[in-house]
Amino acid sequence: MLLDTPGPAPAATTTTTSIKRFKIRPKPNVLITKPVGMTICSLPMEIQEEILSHLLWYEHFAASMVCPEWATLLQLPRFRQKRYCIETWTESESEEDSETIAQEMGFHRYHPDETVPKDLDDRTAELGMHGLLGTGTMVLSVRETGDARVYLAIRRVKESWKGKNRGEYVGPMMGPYEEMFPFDVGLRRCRWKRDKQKVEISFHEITGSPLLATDTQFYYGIETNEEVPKHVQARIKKDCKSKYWANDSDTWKEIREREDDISVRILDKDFLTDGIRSRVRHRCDVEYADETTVPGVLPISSASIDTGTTVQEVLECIKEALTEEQELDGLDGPLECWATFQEFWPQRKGESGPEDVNFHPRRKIFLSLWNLSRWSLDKKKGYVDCTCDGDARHCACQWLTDIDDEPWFKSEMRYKARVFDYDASDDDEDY
Amino acid sequence: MSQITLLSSDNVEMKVDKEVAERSILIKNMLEDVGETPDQAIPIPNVNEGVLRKVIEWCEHHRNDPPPPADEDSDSRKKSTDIEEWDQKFMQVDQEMLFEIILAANYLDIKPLLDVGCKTVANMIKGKSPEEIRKTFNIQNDFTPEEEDQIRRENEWAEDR
Repeated sequence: MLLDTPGPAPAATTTTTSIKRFKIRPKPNVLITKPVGMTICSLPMEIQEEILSHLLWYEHFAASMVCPEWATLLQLPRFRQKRYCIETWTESESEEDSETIAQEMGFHRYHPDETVPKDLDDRTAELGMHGLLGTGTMVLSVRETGDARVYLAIRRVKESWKGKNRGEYVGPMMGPYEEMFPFDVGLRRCRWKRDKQKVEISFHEITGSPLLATDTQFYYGIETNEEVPKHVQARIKKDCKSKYWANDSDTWKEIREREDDISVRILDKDFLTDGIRSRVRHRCDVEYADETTVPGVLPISSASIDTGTTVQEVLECIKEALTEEQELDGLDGPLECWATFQEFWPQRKGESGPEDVNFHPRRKIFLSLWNLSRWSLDKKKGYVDCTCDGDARHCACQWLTDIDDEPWFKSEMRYKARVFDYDASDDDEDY
Repeated sequence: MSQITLLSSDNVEMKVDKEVAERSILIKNMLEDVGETPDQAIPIPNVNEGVLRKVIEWCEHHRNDPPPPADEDSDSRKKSTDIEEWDQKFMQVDQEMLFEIILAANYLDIKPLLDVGCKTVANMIKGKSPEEIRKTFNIQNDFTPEEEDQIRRENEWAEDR
């Protein structure tokens, strides 16, 4: 598809954002005469587009910084669609459940290897959460100086492992950063200890990618006032069932019987700027409020995150929150915060959802904070010297001394097991 | 088996099995339009001898491959950069030849060859930083100053303020 020729009508959600065109030198569709010194830029745009179509979604960001032509091409719907997760309308992310949903509804968790997700009618499915926010691949680094950098953290198979090929994408990064960054954020490559050198994580800076400013969020949620987009309504009319969230339970229901609108969940900006204190009251109900927090995980929300909000605006909002939130539970200000986004962890199969619908993965972005430089510093020193008096859950000293020097994610696993009756050992298998 | 003659852009004639030449949809359609095996050489004006020989080599190796699916979307969901071993070796050429093969495949309408070529280039992009990609392909950073300013403005949020 040439840029200056009208392509097929994009999905309704993709029309909300126009393509930002950079100045592109005119090129013929088919070269009549052989150019001197053939280069990739000499190829017709349709061929360059075809080449880019073989990239995985997270490789778009580096490619978009190469030249204006690619920056513009990568905003085309066929590429944009690759960068979004297709929502399953279920809180369960287990493979078995996802497959069931996929079979019955045609919904599926979008895999980055796929090019254009389609629904049962072979139409382009609507977009869900942006891949950067939904897969845990994005790392936002905010330095004490206020300087921010965005990185992609990509797990790749180092060696042939579990039937996967060398270099193959194996999924989002969900591990403890402090285990991976022994010294400095400048480290570009490191290995995950627990993977016994099987998985390599590489970091790619994408701060300057034009796509951050053009990719937007799409939210549909329950209990909000926004109308369901027409193309979603069409799908709702299908005579099939789906598991979805309701106020009091989650259950299998006829989707077409639903009368409540699915729309944007308006997130509270105060929740972001006052995240740590606010989250206690936003977490699900358990007996002790102190135990409702997950070490190192900060649920964020923002009124400014809405359909149409660009990824960059989300990042800006988070940066603002991080830099404003100078006193994180006793820490004397982050020297450098790294933030990654994780979807809500899976529920126990068959379990009714918590009453707090904030847990719905569409609406919730979990921001995991690691005070990296502090941690690195502490690790170098061989001891933790904080001023929190041992009562700050987010302090690195808690992660170290909580239980026999266990890394903090172990306590997170226990938290998950306690709150959701979730088998933490399953997670170990994934690492 | 009947043979036809192809004439490269630099006026070199090459005899090739009709079955092999028909891997090119362009040539196949041309032969169908003519209705019989032509006596004269078929001119391929956009492809020189060296590139045409490479294309014919590929077509000969893949002469028995099933035709690609007509529906372009049918395989689009399974895009990957896996390339057969023989094709990988075949594509171990300098960049100029690689791009010429891609152009020839596009012109001659040989989709599987175009696909292999594009995947090869995509593999050269993967895992590289923008600067490394530019260096690999000798691409000039030709964002205009205005565009760079625009991008810089959009990224001001990341700077210390």
